Amino acid sequence: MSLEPEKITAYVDGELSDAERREVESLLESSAAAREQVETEHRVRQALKDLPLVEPESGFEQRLRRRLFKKRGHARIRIWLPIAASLALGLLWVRGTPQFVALELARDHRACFSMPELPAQVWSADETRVRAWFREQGTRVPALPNSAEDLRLVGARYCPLIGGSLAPHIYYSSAHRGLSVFVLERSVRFDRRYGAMASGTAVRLVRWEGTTLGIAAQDPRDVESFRKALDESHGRTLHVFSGRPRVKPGLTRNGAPVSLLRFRPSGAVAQLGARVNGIHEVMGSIPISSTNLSSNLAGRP
Amino acid sequence: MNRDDIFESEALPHLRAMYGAAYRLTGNVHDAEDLVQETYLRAYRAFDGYTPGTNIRAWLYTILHRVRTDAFRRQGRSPITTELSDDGPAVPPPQRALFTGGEDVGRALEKVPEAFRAALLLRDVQDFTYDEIAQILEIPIGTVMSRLHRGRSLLRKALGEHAP
Repeated sequence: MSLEPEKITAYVDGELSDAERREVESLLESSAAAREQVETEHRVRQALKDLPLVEPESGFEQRLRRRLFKKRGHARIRIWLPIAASLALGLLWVRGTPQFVALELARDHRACFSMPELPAQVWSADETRVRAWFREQGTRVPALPNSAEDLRLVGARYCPLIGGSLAPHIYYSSAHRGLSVFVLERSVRFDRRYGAMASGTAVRLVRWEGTTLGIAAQDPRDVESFRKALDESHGRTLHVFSGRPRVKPGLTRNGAPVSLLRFRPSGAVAQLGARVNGIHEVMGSIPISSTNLSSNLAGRP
Repeated sequence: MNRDDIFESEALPHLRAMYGAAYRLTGNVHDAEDLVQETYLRAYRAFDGYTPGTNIRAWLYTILHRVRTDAFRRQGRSPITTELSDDGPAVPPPQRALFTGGEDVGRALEKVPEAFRAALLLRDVQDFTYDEIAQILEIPIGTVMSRLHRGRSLLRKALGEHAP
């Protein structure tokens, strides 16, 4: 009787079915060679089982763990870095949109005027005192009217905006209504004016003396009357860009209408304004007297 | 537990045994470390395809042998295509020094071609079943039996040559 030697190997390993095992055991009774194979395979198996376990060098496991963790970190960075960068860029872009700013101002206006008492840090009906307080804090606030129709200046504070910046927030109030003026130093993308209803609050954004003013009130008519009061209290704004000047009538310098000036493209940006005490001054980054426009002023008939 | 915790608790406890097998396969510390490291990095990347609670040991050894096979392929060799001048006797001759010590067995094992050595290590050192070995080495069970039989014959022969 003969049998494939692999069967005897499988018999040694206990991997045969009952029938196959009986077949091998039958052979073992008659075959010395088969018994020899079984014995030898058992001994080889035992020799391999007795092989000493070779341990990795000390530090290998730590190095492998570090490598795995590093890979994990890199994988996370690879995934999250572009997402975080996109989110940051998206947030920066959104923060500069007038729609977002309007929502932000409307939310703060409503929050302040829904409190039992306005959270003002300075109380005054005099805009020069309010401006002086902000100046002491290191913030320049443009001159504002003391009132607009029945809305009167009552106080101001710093308003925390999304992103952690602070904006001067000036309160105007009547018996039943409130109006907020925010002075925004950050860049907002709109042309000259922007107006919208944001969550039931009327918001208007205007460029004013190198800053952006945000005017917010429940009633759009209050916003409009404040804007008019702002215009009336300051005279008119002159934006001088290279190209055609946009001059509104009524603005004068040394008694002469500025609209008669012959502007040349200069690249300068200046704003002409008038303080409430009637002294004309040049506002903006470049005084007009220091530009080539001054010669036009001097030579005017 | 998140994915990383599961990997750490299920896969890393087998590191030492994996290293021992890798050392016996490669024959040197440097290659063994590379093999185990690549195995674990590949296992980590593929861990989403592993079902927790199933046979992670067999899964890890399958990856280890794939890594090894890939390395051979890159070198233009294959551990599977080792030619034997002699299939080995069905009934081994008597021999004198099968068990002179672990070192001798270790050195003799190095002389056994890797295809057979891998089967021997999986069966006799790691105690995998024939089914598991077939799965790990991606060969039929009949081939597992054949490799074990021939592997033991070759090892016994190598031990005979080592005998003083």
